[in-house]
This record gives sequence, structure tokens and C-alpha cells, in this order.
Amino acid sequence: MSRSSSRRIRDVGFTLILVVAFALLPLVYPQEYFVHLLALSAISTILAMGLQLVFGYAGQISIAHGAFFGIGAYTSALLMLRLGWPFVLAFLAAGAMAAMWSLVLVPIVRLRGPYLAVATLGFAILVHLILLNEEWLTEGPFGLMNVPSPKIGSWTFGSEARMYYLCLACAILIYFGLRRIVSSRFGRALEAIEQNEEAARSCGIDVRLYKIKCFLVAAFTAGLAGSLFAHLTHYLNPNDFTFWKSIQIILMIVVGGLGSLEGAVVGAIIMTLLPEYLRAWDDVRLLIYGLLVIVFMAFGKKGLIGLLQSAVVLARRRLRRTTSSFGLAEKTAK
Amino acid sequence: MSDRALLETRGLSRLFGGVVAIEGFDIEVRKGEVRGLIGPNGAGKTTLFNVIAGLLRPSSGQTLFEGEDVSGHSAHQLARLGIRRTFQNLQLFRDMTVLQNVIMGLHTRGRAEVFAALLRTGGQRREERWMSDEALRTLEFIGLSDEAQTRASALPYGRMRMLEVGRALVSQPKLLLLDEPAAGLNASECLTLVDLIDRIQERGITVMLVEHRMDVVMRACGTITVLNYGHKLAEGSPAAIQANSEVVEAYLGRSGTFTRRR
Repeated sequence: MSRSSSRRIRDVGFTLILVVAFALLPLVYPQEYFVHLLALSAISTILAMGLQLVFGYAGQISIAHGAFFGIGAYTSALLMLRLGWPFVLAFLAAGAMAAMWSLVLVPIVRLRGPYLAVATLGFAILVHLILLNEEWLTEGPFGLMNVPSPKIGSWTFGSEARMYYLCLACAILIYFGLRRIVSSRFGRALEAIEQNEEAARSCGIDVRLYKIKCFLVAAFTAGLAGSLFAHLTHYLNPNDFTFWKSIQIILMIVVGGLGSLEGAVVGAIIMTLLPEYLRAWDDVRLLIYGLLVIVFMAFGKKGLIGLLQSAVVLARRRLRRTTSSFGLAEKTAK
Repeated sequence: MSDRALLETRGLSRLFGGVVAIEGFDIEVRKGEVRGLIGPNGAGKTTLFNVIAGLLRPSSGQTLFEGEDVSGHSAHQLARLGIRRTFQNLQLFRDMTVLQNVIMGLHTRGRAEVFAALLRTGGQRREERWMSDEALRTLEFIGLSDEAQTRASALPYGRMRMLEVGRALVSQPKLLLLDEPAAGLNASECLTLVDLIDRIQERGITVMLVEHRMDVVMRACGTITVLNYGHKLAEGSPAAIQANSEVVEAYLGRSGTFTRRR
């Protein structure tokens, strides 16, 4: 009992330190470009955590996540630009709109593995084509310009730093929300589906319904991320939301580690910052990207976070061994 | 009689392509009994279980559960109604702990969904506590308390079988379908299983048992139904079944054929 509560205190402390560290980053490195990248990382984190629910927990290969991101981005931008909605409402509407569009997937959620992957790929292509061709709404290939900065009350999130804090706050809230979800009856049902669909069914889990709900929740978070993205970059182009975006998000969670929210966070940050720092070798950027994925897959399903965890376990075991051997030495000395 | 039947099938058939797995099968299982289902390999026992549990749809015929027509219901609906099963080839959640596996069996007894989890409502927390208490009680019942935090895939084979029974049992089902629970168990584990089935029956849960180990079937079951080529061959008490010449023939072949061939 006391062991679990002390572990809890340690967890909370650890999270707090991380949060403070991330909050202080723009003060230490105030370059605007870097802060912009940090904000993008926070948005990627939201995307990766949402996909983790579908892919890592429920085991459903979805290539639609980038599309939900795009739907959210355009929804939020258009609502503010055309209808003058306040940011908070546009932000929530972006999530709701993406969630609504996830219902298009209802007829295909019963597909498994590669079939689901291809069907969701089709969805991603469909959404991209709509963004590209429905010019009356989206301005087509020219893109949406002058997307306004968010405003909450009298607060305007005009600077990169302020936007970063907004994105960070959202990412943290969503992290805790999803953490509650994955450790609940709902989250367990998703894991059960991933591990053994037949057994899940015989436990009374309505597999199809849970897959639909899972897509709904994930799409909602992706829509929220889209809204943040729109108001961070002030400019949207359909080509930001091709199926390649979905692939990037998949790479994040694969590299970070499937089936863990922390893995999604680590993967999202690395896979967002890395390409920027690889820009110097633009020709081989994708090559390095691809190689990294292969290397991480060699470490198994657990990705970077798994590597980190086993390193901690190993270190602790070694530490314990040395202390216990000290104890032994004392005894023999006596 | 019929009003006391918990499960009844009428003219149940299932074909795979042109191959008949079960045909025109009638059975009536009374509330509270332990019914054995035996027959040579390929007789259709597992197919019958799959149809009753909703993993397969019947090609024709009806299944009545508590007098209600449930033919064509899906597996999760039937689980909710109180029909739970184990699988011949273990179907555990291998990466979950023993406790989590049993908790999964309680899914239908819980109500908390996404929003309740997000807000961590009082009801949701109470439900979580109740679920893990209930699961621990079941682990005690099946003798797995000491393994609660073990990963399911790390259990010895015999205990995996017990765990699957626990997962099916935890929700207090009305009908428990055990598909070859003794497969791979040693003699002492078989005794534990028979004892467990007795205790399950004492709880008022009706059991149907497919099993090849005759010692287990004969000890555990009040009535035995024999299947052969998808048909019902015989039905009766263990003693009557053992004395039935048709049954012996189905299992061992016609008496004398062996000598005649020589």
C-alpha cells in the first residue's frame, strides 16, 4: 500500500519536473523558430497520443489520423475566419467535426489489419481531395491565409511563446485525460480487442462498437490538434494533410513505443524535431528517417520508451546488487 | 419439462459449405445440471458450442435460452445474457495480468464509459474497486490468488486453463460452457477441476462440458449427451452411457471387426 503511494508521489513529482522543464524551455532558448518547433512538437504529441489509442491500445492500423487533423484545422480556421466564432468554440467544434467525420469509418471498422489500413488510407485520400477541390470552402490549392490568432477573453495568443504555452497546456490536459481513459473499463476493453478479439467478444465486449468509440475519441483529439495547428501557423494548405501526415504520426508512435502514452510523447517530440535538424542533409533526410524506424523496430514493439524502461530496470538491479554485496561484505567482516 | 429448461435447441444444424457439422440437433439442458457432451473427434461438439455461444450462426434451427429465442444473437449479446465459455485452445489476454484477465470477464457488469473515466466520477471509482474485489474473490475460488499479478502468458499450462474458467465464471453466468477444460492437465489437476465443477454447480450455475477425458466426464456430469457425425447418438446417466453398445461402437468401432479382418 505504502509502496504504491510512494510510487505515486514519485510519478507526480516526475511529471511536475517535466512540465516545469518544458514550460521553462522558451525562456532558456527564446529563438522564435525554436519556440515554434516546440509548439509543433506539442501538437504532434496530441496527435500521437490520440493515434496511440487506436493503434497501440486497440491494435487497429489507421492511416486516417492525419485526415482528422486536417478536418480540425480547416474547421477551426473557417469558423473563425468566415463566421467570426470565438476561439474556444471553434477549437471545440474542430474536435467535434473531426469526431463526426470519423463516423464515415463506421462501415469499415469491422475490417482487420491490412484491410483496415487500406480503407483508412482511402479515407485520408478522400479528405485531402475534398480540401483540395472544394474551393468555395477551402480556397483549394492556394490555401487558407490569415488564420487569426486565438483569443481567450482578453488574452491574445499572438506570439510564438504564448501559442507554445497554449499547445503545451492542451497537450498536458489531453495526456491526463487519455491516461484516465486507458486505465478505465473502456481502455481495458480496447486492450482486450488488441490482444484477442474472439476472447473479447466472449467477455461480452461489443467489438465493433468499441472500435467506433475509439476512433471517435481519437478523431476528437486530432481535431483539437488541428485547431491549434491552424492558429499557430496562420496558414493552411491541403498538402499539409495528405496521407503522408498520417504516416508521420504512425512513425512517431512506432519509434516512441506502441501501447504507451509516454512512448507517444517521446516519439512525437523526436520525430518533430529530428527532421528539422536533418534539414542540412535534405537529400538523405527520408533515408535517415526510414533507417531510424527500422532500427527502432528491431528493438521490438516497445520502441524508445521500452528501451528507456529496460535501462532503468537494469540500472536499478545493478544498484541493488552492489548494495547487497556491500551488506554481504560487512557480514563477512564481522 | 420445457419450462425448467435453461437451454434448448430445436433442430439445430450447421453446415460448412456442403459438410454437415451438426444436423437436426435437439438438446434440453435443465437449470443447475452439469451436462457432459462427448463424442469422437469431429462429431460436432465444438461447433455446437460455437453456435450456442454465438460465434457461429446456425444454418437452421433454433436456440432457446430461458425460453427466449436467441438464435443468431452475436457472441457479446449472449455473454451479456449470461452464457460464458472457455476455449479448447486457450484464448487468454496473454499480455495482461491474471487479475486483469478476470476483470475483463466483468465487462458486462460495469457501466462506466469514456466520460465517467474522464471525470473519474464516484460511481466509476466505486465500480473499479468493486470489479477488482470481485475478481480477487474469483481468483480465490479457482485457487489462483497467489498469481494475481503474474502475466497470463507466464502461467503454467494447467493454471492458464483455470484462469480461463475464472474469467468465464466471474460474471456469475447462468450457463457456463467448458470446452475441453481438462486437455493437457495431469491427474491431480483433473481432480481439482472436477472439484471446481462441483463447486460451480453448488453456486447454481449450469455447466455444459465437452471433454475427452472420460474420468472427468463420468465424475463431473449428471447427464451425458453423445454426439456422432453431428447427430445425437445417446443421452443418459454416466452409467447408462457406459453400458450403451452404440456409444462403445462409435468410439471403438464395431466389436469383432478387428478380429474378422485378421
